[in-house]
Amino acid sequence: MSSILEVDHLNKQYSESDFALKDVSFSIPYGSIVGFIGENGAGKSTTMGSILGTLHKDGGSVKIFGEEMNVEKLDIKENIGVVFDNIHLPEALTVLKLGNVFNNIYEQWDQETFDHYIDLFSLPRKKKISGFSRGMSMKLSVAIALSHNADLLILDEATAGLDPTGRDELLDVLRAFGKDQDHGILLSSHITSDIEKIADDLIFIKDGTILLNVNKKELMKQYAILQCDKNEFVHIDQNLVITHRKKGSDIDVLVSDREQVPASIKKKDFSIDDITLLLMRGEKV
Amino acid sequence: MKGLILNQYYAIGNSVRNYFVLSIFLAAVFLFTQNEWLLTFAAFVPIIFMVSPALEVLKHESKSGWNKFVLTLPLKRSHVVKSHYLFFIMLMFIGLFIVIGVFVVAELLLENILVEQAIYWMMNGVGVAFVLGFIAYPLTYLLGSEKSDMILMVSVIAGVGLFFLSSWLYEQILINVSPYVLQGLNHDMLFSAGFLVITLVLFIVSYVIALQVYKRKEF
Repeated sequence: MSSILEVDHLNKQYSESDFALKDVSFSIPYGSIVGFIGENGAGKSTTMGSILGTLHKDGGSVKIFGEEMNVEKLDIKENIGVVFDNIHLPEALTVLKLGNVFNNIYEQWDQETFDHYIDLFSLPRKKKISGFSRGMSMKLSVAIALSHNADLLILDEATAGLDPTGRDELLDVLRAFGKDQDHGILLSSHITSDIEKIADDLIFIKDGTILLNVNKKELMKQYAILQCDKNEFVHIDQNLVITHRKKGSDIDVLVSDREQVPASIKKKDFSIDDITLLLMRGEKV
Repeated sequence: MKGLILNQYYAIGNSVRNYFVLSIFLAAVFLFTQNEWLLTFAAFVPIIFMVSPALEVLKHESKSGWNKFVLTLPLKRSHVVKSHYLFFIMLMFIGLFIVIGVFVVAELLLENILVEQAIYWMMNGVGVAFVLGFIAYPLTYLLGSEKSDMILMVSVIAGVGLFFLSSWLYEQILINVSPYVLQGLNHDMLFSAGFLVITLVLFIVSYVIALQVYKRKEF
């Protein structure tokens, strides 16, 4: 068993909209952090909701810890830590009361670890959650996700709303968690620099379809963004082209192997942000 | 389950305490007037007052997004619904204990308050509370907690309405049935016990319906 999470041909359609997840498949190997990248409405939250069972999937399979995920399987859920894109905690409660509630829900709840993270993130214990800023709320959600010995973290925009220091603190914590070979993280974020810092693998999703699933190091080392004109474009092996985008007379092209591209074609310096933009705005061949 | 109950209590603890004090105050005022109509209210009001914060919980849980987060916790969906119903029953019992307590105190001070009839009023109060829960939970799960104020209002009207409708129907039955059949029966007890049993059955049926609605819900 090499994957902590395996998603296979996941499909989900909403009755009131045209949006659908189409055969979404990917896996998270043990000991790795997977960044989930896409625009608003691309399907990140729907994928996560379908994995967790807050949404009912229409088809496909979700295996967690090698077992088919089912919302009634409590032992699986005991070992998953979840952070959603917004605070989803009872606002009238304080951190102290919240600890008490979770202590009576999670069998593996570790109050000492929770206290450690509350101190690390400098969160007030007696203030109602309704008075927390978005950043404080996200830190609290992460503290909860990390305080019941979970092996898999599913984090939907967990770094959103945090100031640079807070983001850095959080990323350090996640990086340390992800290093353990029994753990795994699926992390979605609009802030691709956060994903760039900690992810091992990247999944790009658009309109409910996965466009690219790639190892980050391989992407940065082997892939390339080319800047060419129409004549040069036709000389590129189309099997290498992931996507391309016309910009005036130029064409930006994302290719999967920079070594197989004619040396005369200009290769641009790129970041994950540039790749994201090209994938989201570009056209497939 | 204990965690969910605790969470509900923490969420609406202030309302519970306020309603608790208000219930005792109103029940005491009603009792000390010794007006028969208001005595009935003294047996109803605390029970209805105490269960209304239980319905408020659903609004809090939806507003905060807890209703989505709770599904990721090591709990079954049935645990969530069960915890709502259980919390409702717990508050209903607190309401009933307030009524009993206030009636006992009034009996000690004023005498002739804790009469047999008072027990039937209490049974009717519990019955009306069951109707509230019977309507409010499945409807709130179905229509969403944004409509919870309207649902609570409908539930209260339905509870009281159903009580008066049942009383009227019962009277019609008494009028039309041969007096020999009813000889020796305590009519008030028969009505209150019947109303309580029927509303309890409706409450249990509503739990089954609410569970099915909640299992289909997406967050």
